[in-house]
Amino acid sequence: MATPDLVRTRECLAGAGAATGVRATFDAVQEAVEALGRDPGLVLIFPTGDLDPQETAIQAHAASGEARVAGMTGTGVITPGGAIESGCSAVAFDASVPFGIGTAASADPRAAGRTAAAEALVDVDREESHVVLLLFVDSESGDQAEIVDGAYEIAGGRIPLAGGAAGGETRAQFADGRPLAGSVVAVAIASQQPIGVGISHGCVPLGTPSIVTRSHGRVLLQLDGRPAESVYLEKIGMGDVPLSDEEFEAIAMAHPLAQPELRGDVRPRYVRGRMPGGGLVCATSIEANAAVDVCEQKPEAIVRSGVDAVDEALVHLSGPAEAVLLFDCAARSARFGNPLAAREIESIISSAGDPPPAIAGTYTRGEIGRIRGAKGDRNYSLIVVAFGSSG
Amino acid sequence: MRKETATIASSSLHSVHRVDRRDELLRRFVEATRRAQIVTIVNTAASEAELGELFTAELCEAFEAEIAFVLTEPHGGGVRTLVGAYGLTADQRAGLLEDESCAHTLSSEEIRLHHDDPLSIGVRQLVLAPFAGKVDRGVVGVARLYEERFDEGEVALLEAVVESISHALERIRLGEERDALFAREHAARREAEERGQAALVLGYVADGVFLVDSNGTVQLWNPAAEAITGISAEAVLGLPVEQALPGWDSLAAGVTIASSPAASPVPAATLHAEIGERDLWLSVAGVSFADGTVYAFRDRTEERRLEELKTDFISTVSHELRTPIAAVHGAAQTLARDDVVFPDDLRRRLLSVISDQSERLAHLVNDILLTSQVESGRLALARQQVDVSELARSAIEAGRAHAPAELTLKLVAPKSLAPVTTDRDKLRQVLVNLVGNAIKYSPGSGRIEVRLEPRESGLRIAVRDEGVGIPQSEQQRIFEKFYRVPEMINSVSGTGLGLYICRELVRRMGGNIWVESGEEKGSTFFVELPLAPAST
Repeated sequence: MATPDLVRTRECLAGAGAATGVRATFDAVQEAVEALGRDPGLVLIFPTGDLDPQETAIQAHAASGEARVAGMTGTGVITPGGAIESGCSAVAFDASVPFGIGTAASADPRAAGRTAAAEALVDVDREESHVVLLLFVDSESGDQAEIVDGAYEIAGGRIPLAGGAAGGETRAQFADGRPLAGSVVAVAIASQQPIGVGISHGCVPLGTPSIVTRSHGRVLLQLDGRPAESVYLEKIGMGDVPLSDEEFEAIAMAHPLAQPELRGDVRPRYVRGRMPGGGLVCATSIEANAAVDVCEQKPEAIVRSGVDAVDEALVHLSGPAEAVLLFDCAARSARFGNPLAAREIESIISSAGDPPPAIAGTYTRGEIGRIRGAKGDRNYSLIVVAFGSSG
Repeated sequence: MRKETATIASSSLHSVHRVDRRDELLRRFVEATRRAQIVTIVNTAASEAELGELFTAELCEAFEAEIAFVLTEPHGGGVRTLVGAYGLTADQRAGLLEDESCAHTLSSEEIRLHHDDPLSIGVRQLVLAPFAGKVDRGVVGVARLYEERFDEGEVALLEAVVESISHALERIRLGEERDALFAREHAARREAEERGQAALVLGYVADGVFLVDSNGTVQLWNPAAEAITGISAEAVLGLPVEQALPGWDSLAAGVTIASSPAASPVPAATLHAEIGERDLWLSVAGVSFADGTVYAFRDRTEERRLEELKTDFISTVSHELRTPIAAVHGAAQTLARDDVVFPDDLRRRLLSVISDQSERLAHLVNDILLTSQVESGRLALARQQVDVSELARSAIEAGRAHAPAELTLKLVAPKSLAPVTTDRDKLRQVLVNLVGNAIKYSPGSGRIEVRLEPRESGLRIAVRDEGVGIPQSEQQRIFEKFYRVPEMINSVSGTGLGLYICRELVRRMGGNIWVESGEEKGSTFFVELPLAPAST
């Protein structure tokens, strides 16, 4: 069943759709194609992970005709009307939009990033077009940072990276009519119009930074010479509170660590859990001697960051956005039925333009966004990709 | 009012200063931790490649830059090496090695900021920081593809971390040199051990093995080579092969050299070689490899001699068979004539020829059959109480029947002689052979004596003649199968089996046989038998 008020009316190079129910993917894609008004060349789908991946792939293929399909599952769907707990969002690009799709199993994350990016970019004109490389990955099957590093080796500094890690009950990536597990799917999209990418987060450091005095891979063993868990909990004011693992994880969800950058911003890092002995398990490795902040996510900062990300993406465009893709961290807000999530989405949509562009998005378990620098793996972030309009 | 306003203004100013001061401290703290983090990474890198990759990746992250690289060259110029690069394509990496701005920075001591695109790869901001180690000098480059300039703090941070990389490079290169040295030593030790093991194995190989290196010098000479040729390893090792083995050139010309042991087997050539004082027949094969040629050889001298003996034997037996057969045939043909009436004495003589030559043929065949039994181990000996005096007398009588009248045959034995437990027929055959030989090799007149002497452990039998004698050099060989003294082959008939059979029978009786002789001084063959053979 199609969600209301999602079909755009003006002729454009991309159309979006979203739907819920057992035919969610078919309906979402069909709606996106109808919004486009022509046969698409590429369809991106973002179903929730409670949908059967095989059935999702079949529905997407059936509704997209000759178009190639790529995408990934999420823990929820972002639509112009708000967040959907179960369903699918989709965006259909006109057949004139050049693109490439690459896939690789992520057993060796760095190599997988390289392989998928190379395959996606092989037929894309990198010199004469604006290009964005979307990466749909599985953060559970390896270090997401390694995947992004591998993709960056191929894409270089001129091509922005965006995307994220699949979420939901059954995580999957999609490429060419079939679901994939533990894989990297890279989609390169080229355009004669600018493509803008915006990245932001709503994390605010608490107190002064600590120093990582011992670490092993993705486990922080000590902060400031003491067990990392103790220092972490003290900084969020819960040093003396006994916590179960579930309670700890719930608190950690709202209190990321972050690496301060020279220019004053921080790069949030998800704390996945704790280890016996006081270690903190992070989403990516943090080397010894690094400075880390313990952060909190303030509602106003989250809402503000949504607007900031859209503004940053749009500022690169010479006109209104044709289409907008959103990759929003699942841990940024309690989405469903929460006024904060509604405010966040509302502020994002209202910032995207009037009339709104084609919008599709998903909630991720790790984000990928790179505009400057060489590093693109992110947590607690909103990544906005805005495709410029020829009009 | 003015004062209050001024106080508020002052308070606000202090607050702004506090915020600025806090931000400044925070910035310095972050810079310090970044520096420590980079130095940690630099110091933990285990290889130059790892150092290059981790260092440049970390620089990109710390400076929010898209490109970073480290380039080195020896002091005074030389081949440039790209230790690591991040964010560059293969072509761009190659271009860096020739880049002029990098070359300029390498030869300077100052950090340089570029706001143009000196590398021609589309960068907007570039900082090049030189460093110098003991052996190499280098440059670290960090570049942005966007306009934001590197500020003073970033330049200072780069300057600080660049110092660490020259130390790390030196440590890694020394470590790599050390590892290479240890690896070479390990390989050399392993090679030496393998060679030692190979030499040990070669020490137990029955074939002679020697190695001639690519310079023609003998580098290995195994114990079997020493044993076969009689030349010690000390005498040949390190010498040119022509000098170590006189006549090598002609020998080597007959040897086929295989290109590798795994190649199709090359048949070994059997060649005649006079090495030292030895006259040898050697089967020789060679295999060449990068460092020279390995030769393996086997002593075929004995086999060659046996081959020759067999050839001689066939020739001799043919002759020995043909002669009596011809005599028998001739006598029988004569007797069969109807047109002639033979006088009685002629007829008797012809019948005697037939009888004697038939007996000779029977002996010859018996000898051949006995030899076959001896060699196949099928010869069974009886254990009987034997009166050797009686047996010797019988042998003398048998010999006397064929001996010229001028020869005297005599038995010398004590009146009482203890019997010997042995095989009567085989001992008789030994005595008959010895007495027969004494008669054959005593042309003209002379005396043949068979002497029986009791000894502490048994009985000694001596058969002495005054005949042609046996040269010293032949006295061991006359007991070999088919062997005949060359000088006697044409003048005395025989198969070369008689003494061989004697030796084998005596040995099986538990006794010994030997000869004492001198040319033209006659010979004495001794047989010593135990009174009873040891139980088996």
